[in-house]
Amino acid sequence: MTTVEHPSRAASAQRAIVIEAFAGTDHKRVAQRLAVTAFLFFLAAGVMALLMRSELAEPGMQLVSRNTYNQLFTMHGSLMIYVAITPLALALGVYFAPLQVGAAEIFAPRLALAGYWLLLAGGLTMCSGFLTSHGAARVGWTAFDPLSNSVNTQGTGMDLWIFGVILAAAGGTVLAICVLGTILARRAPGMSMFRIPVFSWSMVVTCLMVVMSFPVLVLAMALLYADRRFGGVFNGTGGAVAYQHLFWFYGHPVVYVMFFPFVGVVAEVVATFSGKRFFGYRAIVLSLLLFAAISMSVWAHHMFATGQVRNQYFSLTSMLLVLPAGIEYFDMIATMIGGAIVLRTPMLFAVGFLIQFLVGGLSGIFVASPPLDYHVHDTFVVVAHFHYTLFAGSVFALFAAVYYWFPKVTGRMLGEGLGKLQFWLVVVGANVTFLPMFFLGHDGMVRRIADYSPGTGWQHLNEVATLGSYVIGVSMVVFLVNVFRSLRHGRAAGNDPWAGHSLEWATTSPPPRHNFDRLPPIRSFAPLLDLREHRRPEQATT
Amino acid sequence: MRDAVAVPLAWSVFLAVLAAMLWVWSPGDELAIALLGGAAVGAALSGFALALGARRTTERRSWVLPDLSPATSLLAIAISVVLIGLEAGQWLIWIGAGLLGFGVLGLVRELRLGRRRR
Repeated sequence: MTTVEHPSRAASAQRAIVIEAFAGTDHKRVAQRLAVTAFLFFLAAGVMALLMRSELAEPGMQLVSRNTYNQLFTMHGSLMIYVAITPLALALGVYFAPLQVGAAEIFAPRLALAGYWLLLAGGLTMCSGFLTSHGAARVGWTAFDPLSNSVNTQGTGMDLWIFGVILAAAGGTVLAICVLGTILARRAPGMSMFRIPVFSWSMVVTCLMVVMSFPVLVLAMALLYADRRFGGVFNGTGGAVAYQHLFWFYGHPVVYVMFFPFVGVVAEVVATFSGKRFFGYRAIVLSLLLFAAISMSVWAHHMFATGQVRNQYFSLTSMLLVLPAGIEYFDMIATMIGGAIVLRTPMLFAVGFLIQFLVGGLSGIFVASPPLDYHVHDTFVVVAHFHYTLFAGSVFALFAAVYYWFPKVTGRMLGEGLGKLQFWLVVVGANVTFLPMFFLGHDGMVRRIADYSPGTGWQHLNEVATLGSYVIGVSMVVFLVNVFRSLRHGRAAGNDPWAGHSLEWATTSPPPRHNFDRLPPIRSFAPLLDLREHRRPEQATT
Repeated sequence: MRDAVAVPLAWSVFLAVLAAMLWVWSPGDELAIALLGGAAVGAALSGFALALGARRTTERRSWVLPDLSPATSLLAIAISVVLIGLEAGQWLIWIGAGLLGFGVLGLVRELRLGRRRR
């Protein structure tokens, strides 16, 4: 027998979907909307990167004008940092932190919904600059004054960029308050602070950093707008340095906001796919807290070349970062040692993160040293360094998270074959793109240039880097094909396809509105592993 | 929730130590010291706010969670429209202000309904 749906009922169901998409406060839906929106901005910023790489492949101007190139690198960095990677990191927290701590709902769900809309509005406002007569902002994602003042950068595109940044930063702040409030104040009975999973701890430190640093960016942007409109805010050398202090007090912590959640993800993935309890839980928790505190105090290492900051202090604190970072690496490697490692796609991306990020981290030690920083400041060495941390590092962990948690979110498994293909394409693409940049920078190629002379000898390395960027582009197509195919034809996941350790695997896939029908006893940071270890001896005796 | 209060407080101590180090090292760098010191004070204040919130949560055990909140979405969009209006012109500020009004009224209505249901 077939059932025919009444047209008015179908229409009302459609209306309900639209209203839910516009105003639903369920943290899982908010996180999904945030992740999809941020990923679309990520793809847009990626297309801009491909255009820039294509332009740089050969000397001379082939594809875009210099002005357009300036807009492209500005919007590429801005979209990636303000409305793509940061929101993707926060989206993971919005979705999984309440589940991991056994909460029925996020703290202040209305605020989380508002945060999503502010972020979306911020991204669209930034991009709307392309529609203005002077084009979008073209002064880099940092918008240093006096380059960004109304004399040197005219047009409404720059002002729209400022408003976009304010909205995105405000959205990020309120989302961080919601995640932090959930972990600190909405935990299930028995879930003490030293029983929350490593990922949730990484979200605690991330959100603390967001709450302390993002409002300073809002202040910096408001002052920049006032300077453009009325003048007299950032005057002379002191004004330019003051702007840089305010900007980098956000600008450096945000790098860790785009890093800590992914460390948490990798910790979860490594423990699950090694079939072992995470090694050194308390050590990693304390190192995360220390790491976050120290990384709030390193911002002026971006200002060594100004000659206006105490280099010794900021160099020392920057070098100190290797201690907590070392503890984290040690814990993750120790978790794998002696484990029954299963190399599924999430684990491949997690191991990829550990190796790739090491390159970014180690090159960071060099630029934390003022004499070396003077040598490579504003060259492609810096571009290579931060792309190894943010793309070859964080994006690897982002894909580890997607492959790990996709079954929980959708109830379907992502394809393993396409996943592994994507992994190897990203490995090849990332290294072929970013490794040559170290050599180009060392050879004197400065960043943010649209053209270079044929006599410099930089063409071959630029061609290689451009080829690598196309491989990254292909890997993203493979990922999208995998997602759409799996959503339609993917294998049903069940509640716990990976034998996970934390509470999100104790509920259905996808979880119900209230997250849990019942919770298992919580006696450690890995309650499901406890349950399995507890059952095993019983099964052996029966 | 008491153990959670220790997190922002411990963090504020870490930041205060780093700010003190900066002050000793570079006493003339007022803005940098103010930024780091301000973050330490902010972290301490959020710890105290959390402690206060913990006491209130134990007093008021139940609350109604909204499934939908069109007023919140409207409010966030209205704030964005007003801000963009600063650049686009007064006409957009007026539209944003109108939306803001509707949003606030809607939110008050939602909160009242929620309180009645509790």
